[in-house]
Amino acid sequence: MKKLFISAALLLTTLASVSAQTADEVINKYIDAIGGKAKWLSLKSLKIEGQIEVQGVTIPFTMQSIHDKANRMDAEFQGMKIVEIVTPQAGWSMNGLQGQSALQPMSQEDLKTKVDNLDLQDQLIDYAQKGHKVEMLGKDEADGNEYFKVKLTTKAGNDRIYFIDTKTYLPYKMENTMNVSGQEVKSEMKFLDYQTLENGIKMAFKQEVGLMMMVSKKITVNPVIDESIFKGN
Amino acid sequence: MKKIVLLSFSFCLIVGIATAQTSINSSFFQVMSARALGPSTMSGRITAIEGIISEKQVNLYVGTAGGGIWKSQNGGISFSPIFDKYAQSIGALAIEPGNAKVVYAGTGESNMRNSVSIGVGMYKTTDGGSNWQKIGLDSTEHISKIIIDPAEKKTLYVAAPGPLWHDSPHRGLYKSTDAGKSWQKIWFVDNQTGCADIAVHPQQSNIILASSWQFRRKAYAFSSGGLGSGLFKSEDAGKTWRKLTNGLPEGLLGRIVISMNPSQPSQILAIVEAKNPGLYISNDLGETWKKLSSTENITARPFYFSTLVHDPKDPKRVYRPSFAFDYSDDGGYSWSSNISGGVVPHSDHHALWVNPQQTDQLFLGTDGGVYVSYNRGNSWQFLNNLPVGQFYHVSVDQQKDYRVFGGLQDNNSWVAPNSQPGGVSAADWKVIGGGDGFWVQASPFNPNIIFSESQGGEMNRVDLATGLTTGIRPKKQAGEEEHRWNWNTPIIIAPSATKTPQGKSSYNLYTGAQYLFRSRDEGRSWERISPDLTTNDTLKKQQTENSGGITGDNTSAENHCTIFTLAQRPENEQIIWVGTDDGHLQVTTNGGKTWERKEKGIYQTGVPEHAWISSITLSAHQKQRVFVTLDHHMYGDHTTYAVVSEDGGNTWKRFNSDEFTGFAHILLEDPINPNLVFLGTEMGFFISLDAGKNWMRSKYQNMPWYTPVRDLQINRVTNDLVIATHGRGIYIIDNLQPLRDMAKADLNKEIHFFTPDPFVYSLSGQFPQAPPNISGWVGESKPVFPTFYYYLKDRSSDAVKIAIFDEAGKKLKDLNGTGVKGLNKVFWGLTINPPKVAKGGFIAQSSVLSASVISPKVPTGKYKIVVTHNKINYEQWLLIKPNDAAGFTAEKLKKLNGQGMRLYQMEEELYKWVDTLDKKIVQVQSADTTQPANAQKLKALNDLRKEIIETNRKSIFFDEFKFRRRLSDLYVSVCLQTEPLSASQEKGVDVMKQELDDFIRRIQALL
Repeated sequence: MKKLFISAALLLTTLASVSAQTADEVINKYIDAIGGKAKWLSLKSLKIEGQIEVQGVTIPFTMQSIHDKANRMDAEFQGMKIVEIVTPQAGWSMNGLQGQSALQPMSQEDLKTKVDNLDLQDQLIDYAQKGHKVEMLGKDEADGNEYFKVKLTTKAGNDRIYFIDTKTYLPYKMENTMNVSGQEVKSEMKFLDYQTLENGIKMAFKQEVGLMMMVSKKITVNPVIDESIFKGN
Repeated sequence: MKKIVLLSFSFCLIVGIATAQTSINSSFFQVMSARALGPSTMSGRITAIEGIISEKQVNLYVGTAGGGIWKSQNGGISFSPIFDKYAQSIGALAIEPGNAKVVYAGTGESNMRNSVSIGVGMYKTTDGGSNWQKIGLDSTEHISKIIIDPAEKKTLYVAAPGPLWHDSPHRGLYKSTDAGKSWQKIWFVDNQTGCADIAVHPQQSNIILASSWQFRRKAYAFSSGGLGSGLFKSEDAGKTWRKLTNGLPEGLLGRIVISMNPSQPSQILAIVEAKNPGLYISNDLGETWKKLSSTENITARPFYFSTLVHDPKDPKRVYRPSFAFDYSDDGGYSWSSNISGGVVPHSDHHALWVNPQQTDQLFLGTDGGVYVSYNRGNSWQFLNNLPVGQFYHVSVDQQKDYRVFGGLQDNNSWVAPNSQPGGVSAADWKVIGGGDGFWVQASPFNPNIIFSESQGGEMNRVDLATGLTTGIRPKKQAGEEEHRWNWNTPIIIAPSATKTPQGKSSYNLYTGAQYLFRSRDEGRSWERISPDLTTNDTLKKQQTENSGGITGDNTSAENHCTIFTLAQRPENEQIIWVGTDDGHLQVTTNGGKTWERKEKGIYQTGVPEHAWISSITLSAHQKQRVFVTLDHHMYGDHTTYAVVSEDGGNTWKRFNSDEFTGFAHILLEDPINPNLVFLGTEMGFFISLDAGKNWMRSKYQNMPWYTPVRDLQINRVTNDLVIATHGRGIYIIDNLQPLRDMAKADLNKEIHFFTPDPFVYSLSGQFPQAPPNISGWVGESKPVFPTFYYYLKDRSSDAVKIAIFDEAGKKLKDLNGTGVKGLNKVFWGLTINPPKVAKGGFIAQSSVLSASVISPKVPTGKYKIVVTHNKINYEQWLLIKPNDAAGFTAEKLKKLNGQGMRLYQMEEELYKWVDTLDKKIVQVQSADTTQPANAQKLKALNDLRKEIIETNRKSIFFDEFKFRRRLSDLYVSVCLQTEPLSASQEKGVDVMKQELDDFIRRIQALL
């Protein structure tokens, strides 16, 4: 009888260790869930067309990116243009709604908060090779569900905490911490409406940031992009 | 047999999983998050301040008595809370040298006053406070200091005075050599003596000085000092210890504070509590001591003031934050306390951080918040951005725009509006009484008459109309014993059927010493309606005059055998319940003629005898139902005790939950839905949706998970729940109705779209707002919008959309819904989707841009609300009703909407015609413009366009008023109107319409 209880206890311990997965185990399952490493590594460029929806106001946008090279976002509202260009060394932005009518160079500090997004092939894939660090923060409850919390500290020094669904291994949300002038700036983004693209990778077609929803209408994988659009002034 | 065990084991697993699926927690109603109201103008007790310069920023970590840890990365200009999931009482903090992100926090403060809260051990963060790990010493309850070995950052010392109310081995000096992974108790005196202070030599870190402190609190007295107290030295990093006595006072000692001079470590100062207390100096690393002259401030209240700090660079400069702020320029030989300019810091100081890179800069933690000085403490400025006030009680008046009243530990009595245009700012809180504040009650008949008190039952009537106040405390009458008033004496108002001599409605004002008193004339005259209701245990429990131990301390904080809580049934003023701090629960059913004790049955539920009765709540649903919370923590028992009787107190049932932590302060049954019950304890706020069978900790209501909740009130007009915390000020959960609905609903349904409450037309007030530069930390104002609630069994993997239609089925508005598990909440600002506005030109910061995001508000009527979830539509109707009293009649709102919509249509018409014009221009441009006719046409088209669109505007500093701009100015202004345009104003719209028609005719002519 005693033995039996011990085996039950052993089983419990085994179960417990199953639940205590390492960061790499969770990340590997996450990568499988979003389509697998090979497919992601074949992603060289990306074009997303969609709209930002804020309480009945819609702002169309286009995002064009070449992996590790450049990213450009164009949006327009009432004829006023909003542009952001990011390359590894320099960035430019223009926000017509704030009265800017020409591209202005981005400070290195602002650039640093954006360069991570140049990596189209998902930052958690080969994160160590890319110079990022990960840390398993364990399981945690958020909004009534349980998630794996995986923290990624990128080479650029930005922190991202992924809340990865314990069943689907798809991220539910991400908490970002940027360092601006020695002060932490936090933001949160939720991922909705996962869809599989033509090359088999899975992406969230909707991203919720507070009251704002970024809705992707059309995503083109590996389009040819004219690199001249990434030139600032 | 094996199979059976395994089988039952897997059955357990299945059951476990099944329970997990159906059990709900407070995330299910996370949308009912509480608004924090502050105040920050009066902050709370600060227990620890540590700082470090990182990336050229002054990083501060501030520990509080009941509000967790706050972090600033800009030298105190703004703070964020970073410890909201853990015990909120902070004893000590330490930052790893050179790394602003690695911080150790010892929970449980060591300023051992009567109301001190406990902690649950040590925590560590390696990412600046975003995530914390618990790293042990769970049972120490109070931690006074953490020191990181200057030579080896993995070595830590933690001084733990240990449990305050009972004997315990979990005290002494602890050491870790692996950055907190494991701990060793390296120095222990006895179960009554802990470690109060420690100093480690900055260069030879094997030399350590530490003070032991024997201290004990009881409900009715405390004692600082004993054979265990002393000053000790180790020269082998804590392995062996030697008592230091040479030159130190003989006889029993109390609390000893140590400061080693960082620029001259052989020099040490110590404040020694003794029969003749004093400041002592040693110039040989503690071997011999010499007494220095000292001011009273140096040796004041040793159990409460234990901070002594040397300047990091100047060997002669020393600070003694205590009752006041003293400083020395000669190494402690002489002291001054001059303050010039700025404000005088709140008295009672517990923490000081001197910026080591800029030693003129000091941050001082007091009973009333943090102060900063830029001139070494000569002048101070208050940081009004830390809402960590410690309320004892809260009350509200029963109006829609109600006020919130309450008293703060060491920080006066207060009133604030529950909401204010622009948010409830520091400037919106007003003082209505001095001293420590506790109960504040407003007359139900005269909003200007307020009753407030200070410690030990000093109570006043305040007339806000005249600004005058007068004392009302009952005076001892012949035949009465000296009155014993609790530190936190109850003042309760309850309905009365009696009339004043003038024939006006009256009410009962109650207060209690050991006797219960009732007044029906606003505290002018009192009737004693009870004998001594306490144990009146003169032998044991009334020792306040001998309290303090070595240093006498009698401030009414230890008054005992007193009435602590009471309640009268609202419909029958003959029935009054009284609870005392020594465990009597008494009831009268004849207005006080006779009294009966009811606590016996409570003890049968497992509650220890003589537990303090902390609150009595009488049910609004069942006349015989009584809820009682009990507090036994002053006997070392922090268990949550809350009981209910269904038979007027004869038999009792205890509420139990694995979730409970902290001794109980208050239980509140919702007056509308008896299934909804709230419990506030010293470590959390708990909610039950099934009359107390199951409880959940509030984790998702925007409050710290272990916040000390002292009092709860409901405003019956708005159904708002008002929560008094002892460390984070006031919180309000607006409108409990959705929670009541949820308590009734079938939560196994995939989705439940609750019928929206009819909306009585109102708009958020805009003015008056607090002056922006003195607003300090600002609490949210109450949202005033139609609100839709829907329940989702699981979180939505796609966006939830909401569309609003008018009665005729025309779509008016699209809203983004949320898709969280449980209750979702969406506001509708009464607007419709904005109009299309004519494009072209530079429109930043002009009404043209505003016009494209704004709309008129809808009038009263019925609106269909459609929630789309997983491609399925769910509908409800919303009724918007007029609000005649506020001037929003159906007619006026219809007229205003009509005027706005007329301009809305004009905007859209102009958009359409400008678009046509633009297309025509493109068409003509693409033709041969060398042809004179085409060129002429193009010029005419462009000229006309320039009359409509502001084409010369290139900058926000250049306004140009073409037709589009003038139309948009008018449109935007009408959208913002709160009353219809007058007939003469409306003529302006007619003029605009004529102009529009002219332009359309001219465009048509050119097509």
